[in-house]
Amino acid sequence: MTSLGLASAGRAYEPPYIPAFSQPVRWAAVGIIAAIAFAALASDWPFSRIGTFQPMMLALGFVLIQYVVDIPFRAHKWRLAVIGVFLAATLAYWLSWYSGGALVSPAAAESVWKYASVGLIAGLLGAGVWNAPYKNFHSKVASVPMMFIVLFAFIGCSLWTMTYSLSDARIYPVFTFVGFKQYYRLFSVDIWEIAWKNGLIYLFLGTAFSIITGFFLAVFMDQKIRLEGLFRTIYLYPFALSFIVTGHVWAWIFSPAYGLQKSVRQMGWESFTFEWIADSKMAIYCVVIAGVWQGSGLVMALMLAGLRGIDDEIWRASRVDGIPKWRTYLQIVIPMMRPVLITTFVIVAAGAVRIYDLVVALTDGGPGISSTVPAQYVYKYLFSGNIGQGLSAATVMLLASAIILIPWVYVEFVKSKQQR
Amino acid sequence: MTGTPAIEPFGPKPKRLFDPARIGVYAFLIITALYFLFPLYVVIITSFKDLDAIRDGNIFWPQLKYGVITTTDPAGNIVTRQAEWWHPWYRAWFEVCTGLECKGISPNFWNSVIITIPSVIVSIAVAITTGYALANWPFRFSEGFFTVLIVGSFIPYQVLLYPMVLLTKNMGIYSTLSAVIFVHTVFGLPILTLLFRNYFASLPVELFKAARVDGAGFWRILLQVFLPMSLPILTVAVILQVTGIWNDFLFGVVFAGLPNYPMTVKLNNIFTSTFGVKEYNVEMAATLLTGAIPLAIYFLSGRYFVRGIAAGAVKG
Repeated sequence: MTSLGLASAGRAYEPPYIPAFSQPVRWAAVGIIAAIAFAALASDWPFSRIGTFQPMMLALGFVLIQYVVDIPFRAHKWRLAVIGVFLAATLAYWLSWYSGGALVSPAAAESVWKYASVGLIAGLLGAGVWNAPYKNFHSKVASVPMMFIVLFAFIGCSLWTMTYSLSDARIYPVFTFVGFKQYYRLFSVDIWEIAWKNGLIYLFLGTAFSIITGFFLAVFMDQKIRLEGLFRTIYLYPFALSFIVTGHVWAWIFSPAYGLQKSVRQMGWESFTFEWIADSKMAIYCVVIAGVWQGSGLVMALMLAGLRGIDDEIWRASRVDGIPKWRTYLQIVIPMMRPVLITTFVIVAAGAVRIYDLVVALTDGGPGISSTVPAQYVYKYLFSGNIGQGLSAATVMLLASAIILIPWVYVEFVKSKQQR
Repeated sequence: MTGTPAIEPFGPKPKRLFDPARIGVYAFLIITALYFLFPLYVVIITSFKDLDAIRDGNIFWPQLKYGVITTTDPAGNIVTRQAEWWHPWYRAWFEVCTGLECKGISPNFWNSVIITIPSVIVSIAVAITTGYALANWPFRFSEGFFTVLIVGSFIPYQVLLYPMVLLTKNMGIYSTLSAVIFVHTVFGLPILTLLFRNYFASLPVELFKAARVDGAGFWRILLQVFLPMSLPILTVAVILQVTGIWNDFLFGVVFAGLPNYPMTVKLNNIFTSTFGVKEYNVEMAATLLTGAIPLAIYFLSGRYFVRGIAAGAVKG
């Protein structure tokens, strides 16, 4: 029994700090990092290639991540110092831009950014070597790509889009604040009205039909049938195809001059008419048909997994009680499958909001502009010299996805926390 | 107490050959299966027809006899030839035009291959490390980052598209292969990380502890203990990524740049190209060629495919 009694000394035992590297190695590493930093600043090589924005964003990433991973500083004052340097540099840049160069000249602001970014990156790396070792170091290093992607690709890019949707950016992404002007314009143009209405039609009908079809397929597949694997393969294969392929395949079938209409007429039913794709009121429903064809197999697979997860005892109990099968499904199985249903709904609906390829391939927004969807509107304006307008439409799409996500977030986070 | 033995049912349960409910079930399944197969059937038979048969015949019946066909080539000359069943496929692979370029869809097939292979390798390498770190070496906020990552995967791509264009432009890789690989890695990360994290979390924790006791560190446990065990989930991830990247259109058209266009973009350009006579059979053959790789993967590995979408979609 060897109790050192350290824990009873009033504070938790902390092992003594033993640096990972000996003193000469520490100094050598710091020296090398400093030399590289000086070389970069003196030769101006990185900045002439990639500008000052990228290094500063890299520095920002390190500055933010140090709070998560306790690297390189564990002392609060050093973290604050690093953040202070970043904020000061950003302030200088902003003042220069805001005053048009009157308060701080643009050249000075540029060089402040250069020195700040190089200083921050070199300082954090140097301190990183100096203060090693760290707890769970490799895991934190391995997670750096994920952290950068979360911070910059998902959060940063969304914020950028929302910010610039309040600007008058046209061909170049230059920020001139104009308030909600882009949104007023957005909701006053005809093509956006068509686009969001089509988006809603596709969202409601596509999601509803996919889920209903997929659910019925799953229920019938769950009746202990023969050749289950074959049926599943058939129902799911469209999901392996590209939307571009699906779109062109269905465009061929819908084509009045060559497809279903002509073929049925040729077989003797002369008055058969099926020209939705050429009808500006019906074209979006063609998209719905193709989308349901592609998507219901996925719903079937998810629902089938959910149905198989239901205990056989439930079925036996309901049979003993003499409840007919359809009522067991309606009143017992479906309520039990609510988490699966919600997840499926969110996946299908989030896919429906961003629908793009399918419409491009199937109708290309036609006839005329009658089957345009929001994603096409965004794409059209982003790459034809009206960035602000495209970004405001993108922000509306983001809002729609956020609304769809709410039930899923509720199930995944709020509900599961309550159950624990 | 003795008495007459209870009469119990014996022998196999009698089975009715034609149970109406069973017939209904099978009728429903077969009719829906036909509906799902119909487009594939139509496209396959159309791709083997010649243009006359497409003009005169109907989409339900295949063409059995092939005659002489006259077409105009891009230079405007009238060409006469004996039609063969494989002509549309040959033209789609080697000759079909978009604009003035008549090299067929084969260069873009190779573009798709060149895009897919590094994208799959890079995205899976990043995701497997991240998933392993999240499952076995959690740190402060690691779950928070993961949650944002998963929620972020529901953001419409159109929202992130333009900032990503600027980002890749600033990095100097816009409209190159590297940009497409980068974008596929970024947007493939959520689903793949989810897949690997859940898989590693489902492995017995004793395995991890034993390796730790034996003195293995972060990377050694990953490379020598977990990686050899994760073959099933690696298969799932590869299938998921290959089909996903092969079928992608938006990132290909925005980030790849003209010489690197993947097959889906080329296919769409073939359809929208209004130069010369529209050759529906060739277009359908090109469509099937574009769908061939994912379909082949799907039919060969359907079980893993189903597992992949189920594992990826339902958070386990």
